[in-house]
Amino acid sequence: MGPLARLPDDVFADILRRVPPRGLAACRCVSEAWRAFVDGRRLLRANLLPLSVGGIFINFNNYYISELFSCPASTTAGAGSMISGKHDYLPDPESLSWKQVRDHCNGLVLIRGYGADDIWYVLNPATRWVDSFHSPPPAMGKMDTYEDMYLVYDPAVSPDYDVVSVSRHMHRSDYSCDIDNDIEQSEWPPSVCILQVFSSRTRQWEERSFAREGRAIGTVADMRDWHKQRNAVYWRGALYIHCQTDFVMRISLESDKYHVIEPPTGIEVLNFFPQIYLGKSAKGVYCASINNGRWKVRVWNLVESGATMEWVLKHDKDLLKWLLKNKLQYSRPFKNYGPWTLQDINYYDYDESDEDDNMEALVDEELEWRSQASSDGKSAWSTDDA
Amino acid sequence: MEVDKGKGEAEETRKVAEADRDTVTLKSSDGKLFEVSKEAAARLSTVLAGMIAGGSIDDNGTDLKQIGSEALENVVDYCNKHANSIPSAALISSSISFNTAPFKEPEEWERKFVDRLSHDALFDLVEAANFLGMERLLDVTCHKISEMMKGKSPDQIREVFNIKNDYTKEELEEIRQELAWAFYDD
Repeated sequence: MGPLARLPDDVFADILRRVPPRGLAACRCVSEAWRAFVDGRRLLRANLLPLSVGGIFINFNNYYISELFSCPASTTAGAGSMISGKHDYLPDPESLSWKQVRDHCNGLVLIRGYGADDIWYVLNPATRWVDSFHSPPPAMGKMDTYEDMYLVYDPAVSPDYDVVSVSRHMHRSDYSCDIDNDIEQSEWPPSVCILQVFSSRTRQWEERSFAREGRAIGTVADMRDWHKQRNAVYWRGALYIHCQTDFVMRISLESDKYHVIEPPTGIEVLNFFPQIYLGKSAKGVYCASINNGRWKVRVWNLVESGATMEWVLKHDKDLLKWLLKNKLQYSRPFKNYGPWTLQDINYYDYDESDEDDNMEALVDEELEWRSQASSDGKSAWSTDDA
Repeated sequence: MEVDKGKGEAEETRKVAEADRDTVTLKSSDGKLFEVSKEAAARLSTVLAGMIAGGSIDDNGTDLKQIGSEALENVVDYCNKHANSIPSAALISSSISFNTAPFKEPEEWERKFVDRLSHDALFDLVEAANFLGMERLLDVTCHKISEMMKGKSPDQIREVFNIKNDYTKEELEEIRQELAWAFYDD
C-alpha cells in the first residue's frame, strides 16, 4: 500500500493541501483511496477552477479608465457576484490610481499606481484582493526604452504570481539622447535577452537571461514605434508577448530560453500599429486580425511541435453581412447586446455619484433577463451567421 | 544565554553541573540513547515540553518506544541544527493561498536537512515529528513529500510512493474527464 499509508490521515491531508490544484487532480487518478481522500476532505476547491470568463477589460484610446465588458451570468460564483470594473477599493480611490489595466493573467489584473513612488497594483476584481509592488531599479544608461510589465499567474499551479518586465524601444521623437548608430543597427530581439522578473513569493526582482531560439526579426531601429504596450498571454508555463512589428516572444520561465515567433504569413507588418491581436482559448495561443475597411476577420492558432511553432489559419470570415443583418443600435445604458453589458464607467464617472449608484442598480435588475437571453442563444455572437 | 559576570568561581562550577541537567536523554525503540538540549526539545516539541513540565523525564533515558534510532537521531539532529540556525525573515507563502492557512516556507538548511534523507527515513521522521508534536518539523517534512508529488503524472506518483493502480482503464478516463482542465492532452 506504500509508505504513505502509514501516516495518520491528518498528516496525509497536511501533505496534500500543499499540492496545487493541478497536482491534486493527478492525485485523484492515483487510486480509489486517494480520490476518496481528496474529495472527502474537499482539498480541491473545484468550485474555483477551471476559471470562467466574467468580463473583459477594454482600453479605449480616448478614455483614461478601462471599461469592463462583463457577463454576470457566466461567473461561477453565481448571482450577486457582480464584478465591478471600478477599482475604487484600491488605496486612495479619489486619485486616478484605478485608471487603466496594463495587463491581466487568469483573473489577476495589473494597474500602475498614480504618483511618483512607482507603485503597481495587482488585483483580483472578483474577490477585491489587492497586492502591490514597486518597479525594479532602473538600469543604468537605459534612456530610450519603456519597461512594460506582464503578469504571470496560474492558480492551478501556484497561488503566487510573477511579473516580467520587458524593454520596449521608444520612438525617436520621445527621447532626446543622441542616436547611437551601433545600437540602432544591432539585431533585435537580442541573442541573449535580459529581463527583470518579480516574484510574489520572494517579493524580490531578479535579473534573468534568456537565450534566443530562432532568428532575429530586425534591428533596434525597426522596433521604434509610438504604439503603447501590446498584450501577452500565458499558456502552459510560457509567456507569449506580442512585440513591436508583430512578432511574438515565447518566454519559457522554467528554462533560460526564449523563442521568436514570426507573424502569420499574409499579415502586412506596419511599423506603427499592431496588425494582430494575441489571445488564448481551448487549443492554446491564437492571434486574430481585423481588417477594418472590409470587416474581414482572420484567426490563427499557434501549433507547437518541439522547437517549431507555426500559425495555422483557423477562420477567415467576412462580418459585413452579419453586421448588416443584426443592426447594432447605440443606446445608453448599453443593454441590448444579449447577456453582455458594458459598465460604461467613463460616462457615469464624470457625473454625480448618485447617478453612479443608479447605474449599478440598473445592472442588477437586468440580471434575470440577460440569463434568459443567453440561454436561447439568439443574441450570441457567431460568425457562422455571416 | 547570557553569562552573569561578577560571580565567583564556585558559581562557574555550579553552572557546569547545571549544564548537565540542561539536556534530556531520549531512548529509541531499539534502546539507543540520544541527548538533546532541554530548551530546544521544549520549544520544538509539544509532547517533550509536556513531559519536561510534568517531570516525567527519565535521567537514564526517556523511553520513546514508537521511534526507531535512525528517526530519533534525525529528530535530535534537527533540534540541534534549529538551535544553531539564525532565523531569517521566513517566507510566508503569498496571501492568495489555495487554503486558509499560509505555509511558512522551509529555510535553506531545513531543505538540505530533508533532501539528504532516504524515502524510508523521511517517512519515519514524519511519523516521529507527528508523534512528538513537532509542528515545525512536520511542516518541513510534509512540504518535502508534497514536493515529491508536484508536477508528476498519476503514473509517476504511483511509482514514487509504491502505490497500486486499482482503477480500470475506463474508470481512470472518467475521473480524468471530471477535471479535464487539469490535464494537458500530450
